[in-house]
Amino acid sequence: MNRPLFIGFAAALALGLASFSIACRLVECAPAATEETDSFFAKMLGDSRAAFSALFFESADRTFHKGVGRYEPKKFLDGFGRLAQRVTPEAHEHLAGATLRDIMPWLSIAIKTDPHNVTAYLVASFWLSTSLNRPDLALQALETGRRANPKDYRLYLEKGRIFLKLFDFPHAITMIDSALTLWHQRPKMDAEEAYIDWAELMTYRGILHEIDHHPEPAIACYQAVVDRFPTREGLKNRISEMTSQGSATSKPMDMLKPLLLSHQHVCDREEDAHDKAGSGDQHRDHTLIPERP
Amino acid sequence: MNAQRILILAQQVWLETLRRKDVYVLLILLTGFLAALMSVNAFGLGQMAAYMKETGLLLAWIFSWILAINTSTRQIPREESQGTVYLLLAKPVSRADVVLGKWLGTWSVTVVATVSFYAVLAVVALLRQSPFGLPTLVQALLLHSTLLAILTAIGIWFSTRLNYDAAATLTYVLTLAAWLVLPRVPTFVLNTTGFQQWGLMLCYYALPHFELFDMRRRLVYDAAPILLADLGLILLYGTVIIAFFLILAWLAWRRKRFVRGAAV
Repeated sequence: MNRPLFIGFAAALALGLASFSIACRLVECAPAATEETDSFFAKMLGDSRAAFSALFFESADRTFHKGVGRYEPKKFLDGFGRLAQRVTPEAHEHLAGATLRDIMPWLSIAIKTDPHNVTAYLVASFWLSTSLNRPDLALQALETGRRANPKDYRLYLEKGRIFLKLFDFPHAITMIDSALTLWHQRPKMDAEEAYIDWAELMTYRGILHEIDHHPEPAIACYQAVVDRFPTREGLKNRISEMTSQGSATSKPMDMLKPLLLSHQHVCDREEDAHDKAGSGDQHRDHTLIPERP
Repeated sequence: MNAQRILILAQQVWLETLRRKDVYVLLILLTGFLAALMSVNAFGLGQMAAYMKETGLLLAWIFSWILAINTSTRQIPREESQGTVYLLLAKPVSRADVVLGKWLGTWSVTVVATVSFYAVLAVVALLRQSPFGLPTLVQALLLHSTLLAILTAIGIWFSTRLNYDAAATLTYVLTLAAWLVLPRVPTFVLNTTGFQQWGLMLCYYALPHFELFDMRRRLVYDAAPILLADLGLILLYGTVIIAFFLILAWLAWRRKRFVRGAAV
């Protein structure tokens, strides 16, 4: 090997070793990564990340409906439109069972793009805990959401539901109490929906008081719900039974189960006439977000 | 028009494209992206086939779109800037032969590259135990190839009168607008009136409808193939569009005068 080549190799090796050593030293000094500072998407996208997150959520929705998009009203449907409808899938079908896993990457990206997209966490945890039968992963997802959105009561409510389904009542109590505390600091959202959530929380809390053999706080919870929603006849009857007889005819668990099952996707409710099938158009007007009847 | 001369010109396009290595780069990129997709593990559930197929098909479409436009818009301007167009036209070759030969060469190269993209994707889908349905795959490839023929025809047309950069830019913009906007025009016109509405409707009927050639969702969600009558109608529509743009390209180039030393 001639002298200049040898000097070049030696210099390159020395520089490589020096840069490696400096990099090791710099890594030690680097600030600890946090949820916010570590997010690549947060840095790259800035405020538009909410829009991108919504786009990825829409992709999850379309995947759930096997490629069929949401219904969009059209002024006309010509030959091109009719031919395009025959090319793209148009049947009203959903992914089910294990195939629901296919919506998860899109929800995961939606969350990574905008960690404040609470709906994405809730939807992911719903499908993980129900059709995919992975309540453990659902709780992990909700915990991630809770760290990014510590004051959003909806995440605690969803965790409470999962703990109730698992019959883990101590954790359910913690989550529901936290949700009730945070409910008063709720984010800007539809008032009616917020009160429906509140009623659900109070009803769960009442049931948990009954399970703990504390009828008076249970009655107080139910009464608060009835004061806000006077048409809740089931709760009215329960209050009168507990007041007059000391306990209700049905067990608290008998009330809990239908309440938990009522939280399901609109297409799983047979009585819901949401399907506009037969119109000859892409008719889907709902999303993969679970709803109450 | 002479078929043998057209094929020889197409062969020249092949040699030039393979020498430039565009196809290899895109194939390596696609394979790299697919490898990354295969490692996605959302919420600890493991790999998801439909997500990988959908994203893989999107990447294949984007890469073939880039290849089609870059290759087609480069052909004629390069010949003019290098001065080889004088040698070419000194031979017993008509201008129509040149236009058709360049188009056939770019289209065939792009189709072969696209088929290789689909092949990589099909192998990966098979490894994930979620293979594509064969009849649907064949139909999807047929329609995609027809779409590529339209893209290359548009690229050739623009390149007859513009330099490479301008032709490529206009082709990208036109095809992207047609792809994204046209399917939504029936919804947009609900809220517009007057000139805006007229403008949208003019674009709707003037630009080619690329959404008719997109069977990706049928492939991803294992839907049945489309009816043969519909397939035939779409292929006929595509053929008419291709012929239209190639005739425009020939008309634009047949009496063009060349200036030595023009920039690419």
